[in-house]
Amino acid sequence: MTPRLTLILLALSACGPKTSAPVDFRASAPAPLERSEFKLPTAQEAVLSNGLKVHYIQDATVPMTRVNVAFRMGSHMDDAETVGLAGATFDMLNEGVEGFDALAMSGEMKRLGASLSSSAGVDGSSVSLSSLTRNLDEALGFLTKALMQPTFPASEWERIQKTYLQNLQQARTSPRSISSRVFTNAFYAGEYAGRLRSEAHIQALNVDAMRTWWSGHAVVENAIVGAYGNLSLEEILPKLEAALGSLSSGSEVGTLEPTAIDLDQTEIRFVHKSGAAQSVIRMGRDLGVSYGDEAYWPARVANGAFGGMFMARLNMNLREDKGYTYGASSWTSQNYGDERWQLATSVRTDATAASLFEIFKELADVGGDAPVRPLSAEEIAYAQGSSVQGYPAQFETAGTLLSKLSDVWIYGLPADAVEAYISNVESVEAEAAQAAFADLVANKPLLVVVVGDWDVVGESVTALGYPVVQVDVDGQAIDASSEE
Amino acid sequence: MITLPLLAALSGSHAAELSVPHELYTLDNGLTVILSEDRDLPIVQVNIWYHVGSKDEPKGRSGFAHLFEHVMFQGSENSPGEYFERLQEVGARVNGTTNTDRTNYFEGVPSQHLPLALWLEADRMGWLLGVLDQEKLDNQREVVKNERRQRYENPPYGRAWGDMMSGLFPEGHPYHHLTIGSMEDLSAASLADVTDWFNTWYGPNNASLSIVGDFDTETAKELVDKYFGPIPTGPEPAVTMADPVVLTESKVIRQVEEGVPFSRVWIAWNSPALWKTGDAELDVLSSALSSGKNSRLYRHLVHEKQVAKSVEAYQVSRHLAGVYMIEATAAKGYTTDDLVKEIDVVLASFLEEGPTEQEVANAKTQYEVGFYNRMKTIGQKANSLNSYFFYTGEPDSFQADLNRFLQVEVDGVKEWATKVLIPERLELHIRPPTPEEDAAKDVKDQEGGAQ
Repeated sequence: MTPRLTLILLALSACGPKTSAPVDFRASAPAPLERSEFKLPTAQEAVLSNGLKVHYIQDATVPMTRVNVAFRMGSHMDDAETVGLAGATFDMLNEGVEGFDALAMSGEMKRLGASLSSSAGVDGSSVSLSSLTRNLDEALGFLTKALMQPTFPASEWERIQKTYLQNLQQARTSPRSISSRVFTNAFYAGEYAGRLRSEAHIQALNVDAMRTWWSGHAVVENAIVGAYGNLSLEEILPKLEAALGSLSSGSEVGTLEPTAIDLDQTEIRFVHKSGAAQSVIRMGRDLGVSYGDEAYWPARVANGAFGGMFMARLNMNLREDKGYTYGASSWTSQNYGDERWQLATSVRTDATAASLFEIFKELADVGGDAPVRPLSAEEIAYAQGSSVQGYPAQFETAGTLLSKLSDVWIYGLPADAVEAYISNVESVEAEAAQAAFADLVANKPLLVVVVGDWDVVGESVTALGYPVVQVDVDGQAIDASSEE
Repeated sequence: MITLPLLAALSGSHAAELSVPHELYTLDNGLTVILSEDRDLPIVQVNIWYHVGSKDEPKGRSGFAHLFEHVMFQGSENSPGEYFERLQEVGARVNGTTNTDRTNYFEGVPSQHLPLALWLEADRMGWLLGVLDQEKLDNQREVVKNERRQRYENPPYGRAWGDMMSGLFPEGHPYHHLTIGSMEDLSAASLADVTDWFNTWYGPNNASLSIVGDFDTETAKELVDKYFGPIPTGPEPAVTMADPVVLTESKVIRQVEEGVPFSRVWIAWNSPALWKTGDAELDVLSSALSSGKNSRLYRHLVHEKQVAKSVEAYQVSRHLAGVYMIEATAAKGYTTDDLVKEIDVVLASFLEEGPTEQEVANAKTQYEVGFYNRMKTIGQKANSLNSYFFYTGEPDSFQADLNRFLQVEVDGVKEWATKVLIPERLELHIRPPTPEEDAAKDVKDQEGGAQ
């Protein structure tokens, strides 16, 4: 029996009447209707005269067009001296181009019913244009200018730099931002170039460096185009050629596989926030596997059952059973190198230690040599059904497929990665999923960050028995002697 | 699918009529049904609006409409488990939301599971109470309290919105309190309240059901009849009304909040309700004031004077009333009084000159784009059909809604800005403690001693 068949049978036995129909039709769930066929939408491919690859989806729903230029560039390219350079450079593309300062550019966009945005991530970045199709030619002119004639005006940078400094100050006051900053900083042990910016980093950035960085890297070899709109491919190609066909060639940027923190044991970093109404809990670790490894799909599917959805163990326990939180979830996330597993929740202050206890208990229950409560075949099948049957809905807007295709390119995944998702999830065996999750997450030390009121919960959190280090909002140990 | 029949022939400034073809009918028990086929993908959206929100809560029960929404996910007589259980298994996306005016519930399901979604929605509309117990209510009360902490108590400035609503709407006005409610009122809610609320507001005659996606209309009608038809009609729902209110004197609230990074000010006025005359003009005003870097407030406060880190103007319009709001965050070294001063400079010249033709034209283009963006998914369409039905009686009001903006003129914007942005207004100033205040607090904490 194929895995796919197993799933359908399970679904039927869970949903439909097993034998003859009951007298009261309302007493049991109705059987499904005939299954409609799902065909994954496909993108048309083209190559511009300079070699730039294009994916295009014709979508006549509304008279709008979106053109996204994705780059295999990002903060992974920053080194210790230039932390934040990639991000600042992308931000500045929208702050002035040949012939238009920031204000004039923004006014033109508004007049055209268009918007231009640019932003950098860790591994990939993008410059995107969205426009009323009737104004597309004019709007594309600004995309061209942003890519090929950005001016990086010093006066705008001075203003943006101030904004960065203020945003940093703001990030240090929001409990959720604090937890994420402290976690990321600690997770990559300060070594990974994607690390977060400090005041000194922001002060060190300048427009000359941005100009050099942009002209050196923003080349055909590091870019791919994804577009959708109501025009046909024949109609849009000449426009894309005119706008992007003159992007020059250069050399390909490398990739960086980050080294995550090496933990001997689970440890808690605690950030004190006086008077906090809730504690933010965040934890995670390096999964040690990446796309293509045997345990990759089993671990992802298992996470679905453990914490990846509303009905998962984690949320059922912390929210629906205990009422400690508005929601709790865990997820795996992609980057160069190994996949990362993370969990986050905000819990009521007086339930902080109890919540940590329950989370560790849930992990312990699926871990160890003989797990007390392993993820069952039913739970795994449930998680698989949810992922597989929910997949088509993701493709409602053309943007999803295009962003998945650009991820395939950025991370060098197999060409059929988008199409193979369903069979990859369905082919996971329950035992393999349980084993992978136990092996890669539950039995391994975790990095834990808690942001909450130490005066109220410090004692009970410490009593859980894990080493606790008090750190400040930037993750620096407050009492130097307690570190190491 | 939205039909744009004339698109290819268009060369002028505006696109063809927006339209979502649908069928509208009413069951004998009073349930309104709106069906719209869209067969692009094998998915279907079921969306139900109950015409009750926090505006209908009795005194002492603020937050109850929303707490009740949570109770609706705790199972019903024929499906006593978690509402999510059967739906998440088939990949559905499920949720519900509550605001001042209405409570909605929706699920996007693979199309073969339309019967499952309708069976579940019908079961909780007709047979909710039999399985509810104190334990479930208590648990969801805790979940909602956590939601309140997460959204309104823990984040910086989280309490501001509540202070403004109670400042703009007098005691007893349906919008005086926030939808999330007070901790005290949430604690007071009882099982008897749940029963009352359900019996008063959750009858089929106080709801509308919209289904959009991959289905056959005849099949859907049979299913709707089968599952919803037998639910008895509820009592005639009461209509909560409110007289228009306007501040007769200015109110200035100044607060010091520990942990906020920057000072922030809100200036707020009472304004017209949704769909009422002036509502669209005020949206166009917001576009001229704060949309884009060269809008008037942004350019003056953020770009030129650099006294603000950010500034936004917006009209929040609801069924019974609206609120017009200008919100600005101070740049380092500036106070909220500096912000108010510069905002007033911009407002004074706007009220004097009115908008330019270009500003009004830009806003219209912007709203046209906004309409396209919100008609892209079947979930947005299903919810809009219900929303338009609730506010206008006609589900397919997409073009009529857009027309409200396309008809706005320069004079109208000036007129409504003058009518609404009057001197009698509410100002809420929040600033972080000064270093001296922090130092004083530390001493006090130490004196208080650690418990």
